[in-house]
Amino acid sequence: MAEKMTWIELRRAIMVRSGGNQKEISSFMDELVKQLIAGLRTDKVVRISGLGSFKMQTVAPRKSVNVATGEDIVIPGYEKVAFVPESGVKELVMNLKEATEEKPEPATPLQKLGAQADEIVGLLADLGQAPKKVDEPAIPQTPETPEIPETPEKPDPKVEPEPIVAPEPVKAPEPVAPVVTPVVEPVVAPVVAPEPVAPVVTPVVEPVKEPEKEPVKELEKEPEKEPEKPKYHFLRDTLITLTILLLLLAGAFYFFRQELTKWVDSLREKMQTPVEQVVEPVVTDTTAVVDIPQEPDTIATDTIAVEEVHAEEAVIEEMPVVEEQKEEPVKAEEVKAAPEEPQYKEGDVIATVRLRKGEDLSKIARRYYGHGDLWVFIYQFNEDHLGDPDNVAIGSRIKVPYLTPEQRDITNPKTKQQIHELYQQYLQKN
Amino acid sequence: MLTKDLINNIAEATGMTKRHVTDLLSATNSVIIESLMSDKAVPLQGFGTLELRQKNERVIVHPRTGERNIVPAKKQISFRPSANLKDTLKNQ
Repeated sequence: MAEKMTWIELRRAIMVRSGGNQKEISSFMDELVKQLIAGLRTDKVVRISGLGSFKMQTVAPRKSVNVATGEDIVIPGYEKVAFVPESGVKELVMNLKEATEEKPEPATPLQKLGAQADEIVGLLADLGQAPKKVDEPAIPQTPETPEIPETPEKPDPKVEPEPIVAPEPVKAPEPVAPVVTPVVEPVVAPVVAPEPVAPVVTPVVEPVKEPEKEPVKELEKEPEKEPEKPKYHFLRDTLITLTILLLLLAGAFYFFRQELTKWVDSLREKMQTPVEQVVEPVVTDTTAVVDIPQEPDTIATDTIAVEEVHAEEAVIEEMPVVEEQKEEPVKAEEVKAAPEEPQYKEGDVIATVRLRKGEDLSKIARRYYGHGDLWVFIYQFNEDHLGDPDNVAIGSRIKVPYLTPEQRDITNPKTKQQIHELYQQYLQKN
Repeated sequence: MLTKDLINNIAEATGMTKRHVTDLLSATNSVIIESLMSDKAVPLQGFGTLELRQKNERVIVHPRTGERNIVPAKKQISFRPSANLKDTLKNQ
């Protein structure tokens, strides 16, 4: 009660309310006070309907001891005035109290978190970027609803990265195609002279292979990314890092393409001399590139060359492979995460309840965790303001902490041990 | 002393009509209550102050059953007599 109305303010307010003039009001107020005092003197009580009553109470004299000297003294009796509000007025003020007190209470962290999460999700959807926030996976139920709207929203931001990804892998193979084909052609060219069958096979096989792979890669990427959009941000993080890695790889490959081609050419030049000897191994080589790197009848030098060529291709092939492998587990995680919705972290409060008559902590534990023995965790969380765990005051405010599924599992030996320890501790304490 | 007597006495002393005094008194009441509800103390000069006090939550124990109960926190109207009132009551 920091504020206090002034006497003048009060008179002015009454004047406004009643429509009387200033003189009237001041004479009325003066007389009111006089009459109140007179009434208290004569009747010891003045009742004003619509407000309450002023009562005079007599405090009887009592004995006491002078603290300094130790002498017995008598504190004389006196009259004191008390005010008892009418029940209606009392309730008005009580309601006021409820209104003021409950304001801070409803600010539960969960709602806030949820609202913030929504905001963040919205912002991210706009930006199309993934944050490094750990809170994101803890978003409560929100994922369910956003999932559907996000898919249409996100394509826009996500489409941007895709075209970037798509052209680059295409670029990467392109250099490879020239790398491989020219490399093979010279190999084949000498081959053409002795046997016409081989050259026909080799060029046909290789171009066919490469175009096939490229479209496959692109197709794989696109459908895989679309389902991932509605997911949590850390998943997006991994995706984006993956794509960045891919881009880097592709870029590196593109950048060093010339050197690589030179290197391969040099290898080929070394190769050419032995390759000229036999035609058949070349043919086997090409098949080897397609499927199995090591075919039995090839000459040692040939196999080395083939392996190296294959290694280069492997660099390209690796990228999609890596994506596939990593994205699948990611999906699995998401699928798991979505139904569970672990919005809470340890230490979060999932509910605040008031202990009702006939209830105890174990009942609350049973209600929230499914087992009464878990009350020790509730008590542990509320230890600061609860006394005896066996006799908690009715109406006490109890915060129910979040327990991990592991902690909830009463059969878990670790949990058993923990409960036992806490139980012993609280038994000793009280 | 009841409200009726109070009104009669004031009307007699000031020469106003009872009706007018009744109106003024009800206006005073509503002003006081409104002021208290906005958490403002109301001074009645020469008599005392009406104010709100915060009562904290407390535990009570049922004497027979030993059951513990919490009395919720609340606000109460309280009256603090002025020095003038204390004096006049002492000297009566």
